[in-house]
Amino acid sequence: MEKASNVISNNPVKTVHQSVDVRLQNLTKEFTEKSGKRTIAVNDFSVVIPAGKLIGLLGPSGCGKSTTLYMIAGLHKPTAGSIFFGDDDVTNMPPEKRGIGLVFQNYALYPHMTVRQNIMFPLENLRVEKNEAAKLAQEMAELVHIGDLMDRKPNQLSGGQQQRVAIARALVKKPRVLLLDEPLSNLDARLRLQTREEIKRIQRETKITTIFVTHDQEEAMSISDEIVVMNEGIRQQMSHPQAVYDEPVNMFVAKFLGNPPINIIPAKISAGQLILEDGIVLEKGYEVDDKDVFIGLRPEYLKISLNGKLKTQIDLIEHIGRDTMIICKIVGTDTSIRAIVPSIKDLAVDQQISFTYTKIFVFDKLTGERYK
Amino acid sequence: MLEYKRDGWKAALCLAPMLLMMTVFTFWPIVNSLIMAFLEDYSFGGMQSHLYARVLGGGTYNGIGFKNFIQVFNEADFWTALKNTSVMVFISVPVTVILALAIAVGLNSTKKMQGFFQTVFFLPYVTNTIALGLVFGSVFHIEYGLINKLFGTQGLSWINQGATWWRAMFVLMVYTVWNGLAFKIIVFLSGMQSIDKQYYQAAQVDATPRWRVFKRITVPLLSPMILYITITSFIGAFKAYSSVIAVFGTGAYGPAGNEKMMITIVGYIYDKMWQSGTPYGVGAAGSLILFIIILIITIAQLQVSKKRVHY
Repeated sequence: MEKASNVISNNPVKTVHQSVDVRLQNLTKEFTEKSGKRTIAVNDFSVVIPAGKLIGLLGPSGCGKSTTLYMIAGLHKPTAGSIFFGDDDVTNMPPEKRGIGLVFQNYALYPHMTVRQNIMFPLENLRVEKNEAAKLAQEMAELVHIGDLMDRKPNQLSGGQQQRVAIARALVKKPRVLLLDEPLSNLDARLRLQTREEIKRIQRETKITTIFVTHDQEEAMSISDEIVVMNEGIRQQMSHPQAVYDEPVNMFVAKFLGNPPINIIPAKISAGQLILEDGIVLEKGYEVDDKDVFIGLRPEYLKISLNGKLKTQIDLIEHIGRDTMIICKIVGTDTSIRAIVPSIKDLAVDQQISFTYTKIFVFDKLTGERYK
Repeated sequence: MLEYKRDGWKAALCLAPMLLMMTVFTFWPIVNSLIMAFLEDYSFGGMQSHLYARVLGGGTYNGIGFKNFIQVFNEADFWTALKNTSVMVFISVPVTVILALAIAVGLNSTKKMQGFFQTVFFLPYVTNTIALGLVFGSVFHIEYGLINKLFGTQGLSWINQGATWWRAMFVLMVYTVWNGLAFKIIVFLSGMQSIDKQYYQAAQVDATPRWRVFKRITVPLLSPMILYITITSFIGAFKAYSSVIAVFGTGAYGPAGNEKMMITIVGYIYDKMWQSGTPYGVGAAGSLILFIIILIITIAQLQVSKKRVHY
């Protein structure tokens, strides 16, 4: 009993956690249903999450991101591969020994306990002495700005406040890694904005290695130090959010990130030339075999220009304040594209305009792999 | 909302059959016995009718007062019944509830064979009380009973002639617990299965020992059901009657030679209602006393539960 409380009281009032990196090596999770049908939820997933960083695990629902999180937590056992916290191989360690804090999607606050009791609960298991535990709980509550709500029950709190309690409960035992499962999905739009900044702040103050799962690109891009994009259990790309947006490795990542979404235009490469469906040669000098491709053009990469090669006819004009969004059809094809241009008034529906572009991605039609 | 309010007569129509039945078979008898309890030497029928007796359909009495209650309190049978019933209630109910909770926890934590065990533990519930009593009667039989054979105690009387009060009570207790277990297990189990798994995962991540998970998470989240089961069990146990009849199989409340040894309050009331020479009011007074005992116990439970039940 004394041992544990000594360890904690020896470094008092410090919310700074020992930061460790988290390494996932060839992590695979296969679920076998009763019918014998096998599903590979996570497929040979390797990633190194640097110590003290906030990492967003991003992907569409069913891509295996939550499964990955639960494997890091130890609530799911990997089929193959290993998990390291620092030099510690935790692959076969039960969750309670890993030193993680986990915030569930619906927070899983004990409804019959007050906020204080909820936050103190993990300390009870560590046999921390009661006054000490109460002090630590209060500190944590102050950190997440709910210090004045300690005697309320969870159902007397708003969603955002419950979220903070859940974070405080996860952090109070000073875990090595903080895991958040869809932390903002249960909040309304305004709270979401507020809470995501709050998570960022708490993470900065505590310097704890934090991994959170989300399907919301904006959420991931706005607060993560780095994002990991996943699809169908496979790691697609990991980098700084802006870098992933600017240089997606494949068509999935390009399409998944960005709002409004990227324009995808069918085209082909023939004799080193990039040719649109209407026969217009867009660019030259491709050193690949002839094949069908998709062109990726982000709406903001397009510029109206008299001698632009992309000839279009306007279908719809939306004024969205600072900018104008134009939806138009490439002449001679059925392909609609979206462009965001600085606000212009002298445009009309059915008018023909041409675009140039500042940047272009070219993807293989079959594999989605990016050439340029 | 207003549209629905105008449909009040439809609701009344739907409820009418049930209300009618309740009035005839529940409310009216309650009012009757309430009046009867205070009529001294009330006798049904006859040529003339006294004032309050007219409410009951006629009859005569010699006054209004507590004579019936005084008679009840002066009868040894009543005190035996009260003792027997209380012992059954205060031992069998806690034992059943705790046992049911333990079995439900066990069932809930086994993935394999859960359906099988669920069926097994539910079997006593679908078994007829008297049939179950017959089984107990033969298992505890003095000569060819399984228990006596198993422990080599042939000749030891549990429920037959010469049985001691404690042995008979033991059999009765085992029977009551067994009989009540199934329903409670099912209620607790379904309650446990509706508790969000994430509470347990959260507890696991926080290295919560099993016992504390049970004490701090399962029990509080199950507390409304525990309260419901406890209160209904107490009421049910106070009304014990058929269990005694079923176990002894003598048609009385005890083994041959001591037919009233295990009499219960309901048994006592039943006897008084049919005993020739005893006014009806005595049985009515007995049931009023039972009602008040149950009322007090239930109110006490609700009071205690206010702090401990989390909805």
